[in-house]
Amino acid sequence: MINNEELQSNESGPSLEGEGSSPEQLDKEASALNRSAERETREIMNLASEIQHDPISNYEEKQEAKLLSQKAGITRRDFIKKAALITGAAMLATPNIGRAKKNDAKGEGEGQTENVELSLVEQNRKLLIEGEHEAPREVFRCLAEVISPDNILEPSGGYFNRDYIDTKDEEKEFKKRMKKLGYNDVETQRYRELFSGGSIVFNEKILGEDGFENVLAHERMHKELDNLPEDKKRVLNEARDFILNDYRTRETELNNITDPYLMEVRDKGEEPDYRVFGKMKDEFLKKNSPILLNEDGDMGSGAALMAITRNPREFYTYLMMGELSPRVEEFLKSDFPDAYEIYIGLKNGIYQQIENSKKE
Amino acid sequence: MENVLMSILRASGIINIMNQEVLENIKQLYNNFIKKTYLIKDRLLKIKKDIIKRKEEMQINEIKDKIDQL
Repeated sequence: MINNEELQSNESGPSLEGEGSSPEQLDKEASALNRSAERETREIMNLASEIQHDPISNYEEKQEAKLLSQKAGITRRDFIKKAALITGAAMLATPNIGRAKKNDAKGEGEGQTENVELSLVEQNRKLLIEGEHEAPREVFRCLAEVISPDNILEPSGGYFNRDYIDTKDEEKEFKKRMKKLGYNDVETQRYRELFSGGSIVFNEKILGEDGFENVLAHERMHKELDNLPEDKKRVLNEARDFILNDYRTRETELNNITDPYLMEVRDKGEEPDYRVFGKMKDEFLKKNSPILLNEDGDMGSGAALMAITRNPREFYTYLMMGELSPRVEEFLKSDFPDAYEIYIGLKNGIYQQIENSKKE
Repeated sequence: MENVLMSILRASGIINIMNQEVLENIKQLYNNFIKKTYLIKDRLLKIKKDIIKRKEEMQINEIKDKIDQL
């Protein structure tokens, strides 16, 4: 039986390594919470499985255990989904990304740090090409408030594949708020057009971040993918869908299971009966896609996997940034050479373009 | 509350950077998760306890029957 003290101790979450503020550390802490939630779910699934297979338990108890097990699964998926929503691109918080460091400044003191940041902004701004823009933080906040009043985070920008201000009320509200911020009609219209689809727009704050070029490459990949001819899109999507939905290795599959039947099979060291869990297996693989995991079975930077699970369109963008296991790119090359050719062409082109801009 | 904007922006690949605020939100999510799973686990443990109790009763009855037969 779980007592209140245990609940209290659980509420503080798993043991974390202090309040480290580096993005890498924050990512580790988020991954620790995710692993703890995974363990908790597994424990419940085991318990439910024991009851379901106990010869003494009656029909009602078996049914209730089954329902509770399903409920735990839903709660777990809900946690992953919501975490993905707020950390979807936390993988961008690699050690390279963060505020400009004081140590990087040639001198000491706040003035020099500010100069470094300004210099970084200027350097990053040079990387932008036609169709790529920056907008002030207040404008992004305004956009967020208009299209989702419940929003708690400030968008950092990215590729706008469509117009998100898509109702007259939102349009009116956007103009009203922009006016309140002191923007005239011409300026408001300019930002309105930037957000209307087809452009890459970054929040000005992100231009002050080291590692901006990775963010830029990620967003350019989205745009390139969106603009590909349909036949090439189809080739890429087929390879991606195979990797996300059908690829599996038995080892990783069995190491990441939460279903009671599969856990039982794993614990006994037996081969699973594929006839028994057919559909269940497919569902499981869709959710876990073991090939995306790093060699140690960990989620690596974590949010990359969650973001891809949430939205397959993130697959090639995270792959190009090296956020997935190297096996994925190798597999793409060997088993889907046509898709690999398209992908690698886009990847090399994007990074080459960035290198060229840096030299200019 | 699910963040609708983030859902929309995520769909378009628009991004947010991991920071302390994001982590705090995940911690909050985790705490809510634990509260929900606590209730599930608690109920399952009660069912298990009932089963164990019945098992014990059955064993006692079996022993009693054997004693009666003697």
